[in-house]
Amino acid sequence: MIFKKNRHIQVSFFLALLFVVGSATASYAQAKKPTIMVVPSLNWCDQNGFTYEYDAQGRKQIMPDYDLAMAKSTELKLVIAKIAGMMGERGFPLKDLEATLQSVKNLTAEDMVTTSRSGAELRESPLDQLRRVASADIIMELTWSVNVRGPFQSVSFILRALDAYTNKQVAESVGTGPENASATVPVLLETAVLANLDNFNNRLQDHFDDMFTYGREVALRIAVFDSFDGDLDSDYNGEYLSDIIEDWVYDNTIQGRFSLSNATENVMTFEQVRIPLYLNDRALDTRTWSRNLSTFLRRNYSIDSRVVMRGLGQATVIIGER
Amino acid sequence: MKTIRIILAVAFLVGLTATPATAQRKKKQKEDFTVGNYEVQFVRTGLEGTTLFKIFSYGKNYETALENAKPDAVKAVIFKGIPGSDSSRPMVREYDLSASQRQFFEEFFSNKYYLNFVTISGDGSVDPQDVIRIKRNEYKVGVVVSVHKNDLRKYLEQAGLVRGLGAGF
Repeated sequence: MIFKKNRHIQVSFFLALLFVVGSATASYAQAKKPTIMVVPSLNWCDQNGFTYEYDAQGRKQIMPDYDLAMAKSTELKLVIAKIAGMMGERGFPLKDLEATLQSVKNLTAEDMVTTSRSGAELRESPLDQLRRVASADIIMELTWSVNVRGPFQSVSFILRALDAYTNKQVAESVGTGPENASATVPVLLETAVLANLDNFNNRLQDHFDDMFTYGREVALRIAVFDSFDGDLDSDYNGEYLSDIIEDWVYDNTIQGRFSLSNATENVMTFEQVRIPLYLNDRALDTRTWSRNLSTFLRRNYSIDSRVVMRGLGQATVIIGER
Repeated sequence: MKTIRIILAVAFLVGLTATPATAQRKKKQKEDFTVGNYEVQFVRTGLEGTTLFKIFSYGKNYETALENAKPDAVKAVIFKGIPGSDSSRPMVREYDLSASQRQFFEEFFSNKYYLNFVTISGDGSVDPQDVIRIKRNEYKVGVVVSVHKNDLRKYLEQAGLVRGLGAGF
């Protein structure tokens, strides 16, 4: 009897401990902090000659050459350093463009010489090569131009934050500073940063607040391998497969927020899908969320699928094979 | 003699009715720290972390109006924002305040903590054109002030009244 009583106390103590640990873990659960990187805009790069051209199936495309811009433009480095300093002070350190570019180059060089003992090289698809670029969750795109009127100079400044998940502009600050006859361009640029960054941060804060309330906005595409025996209109336990997927998306979004912009027997396109920032006390991203759909289909309907990511916020679940 | 008595009686009655009203108004002024009778005019972005603007404050005389300039300037940055500046949006929305937050601001202003975040720009002299006598007992004085908005924001973030940009991540 005493043993039984002790056992009961032990179990109660263990449960209480579990509850305390669980609560502590829950209270420390945090969303994945978005990475932000300042990059010069294509417009600025083009005006200053920091671009390169490549032939895309007979059509010339202009791309920004960040490497060249960072190597040649002191003003660009000054503005990026200033913005990074001020953002750091606001508790949001930025991802450095120059360091990221260097890191990508180092990684490429290392991958080229990495071989196994048998002499095998690293496997890399054209898609992997394409994606091996400097990226961040939010891109702060920077443009400025110096206006000259007689002896006076002023700086027009555009700073935009683009969400890499949705390609939407989430914050902006635009303005032309006062004219000055004596200040140099770097001083005018510094003033422009000081005069614009707080308002920009306010808008960025709005975006984060919206994200905390309604979740992260992502896009989901459902496609079908031609090897799949059936399509999205196939019947599973009396329900169309497309309806099963739509119901899952509804159940796994905040307040059921999403829009189904396209639905055929082969493709479904979900846009403005608001996924939660956490799931079971773990930070959730688009890939994990989409994989949960893949797991759901396999476990409940024995449907294999593969998750392919496009960027940070676009996932495609291809049904038919893993 | 009779006239003097009447005058005294009237004065007593006026005093009797006016005193609670004045006290009430003063009390109301103390409570409604977010409501300020002042105007702001942005001058320019100051040194890093500061904003420079002209504040027009009111007072029963020149000295009182000038004295009100500093708390009014801090209130403007916190509760109203400075139009045209990089701090055009208020740091705190007045309608968001809870009772404990109101208590915090009451102490912040009554204990003059705000003085850590505001300075009168230049030598403190006031442009004669910015001293306006509105009524017999009301002056309006405009003075350029520098508010250390970054320090103020950090202070309010630490007090939990303003969300930091990285809060929640």
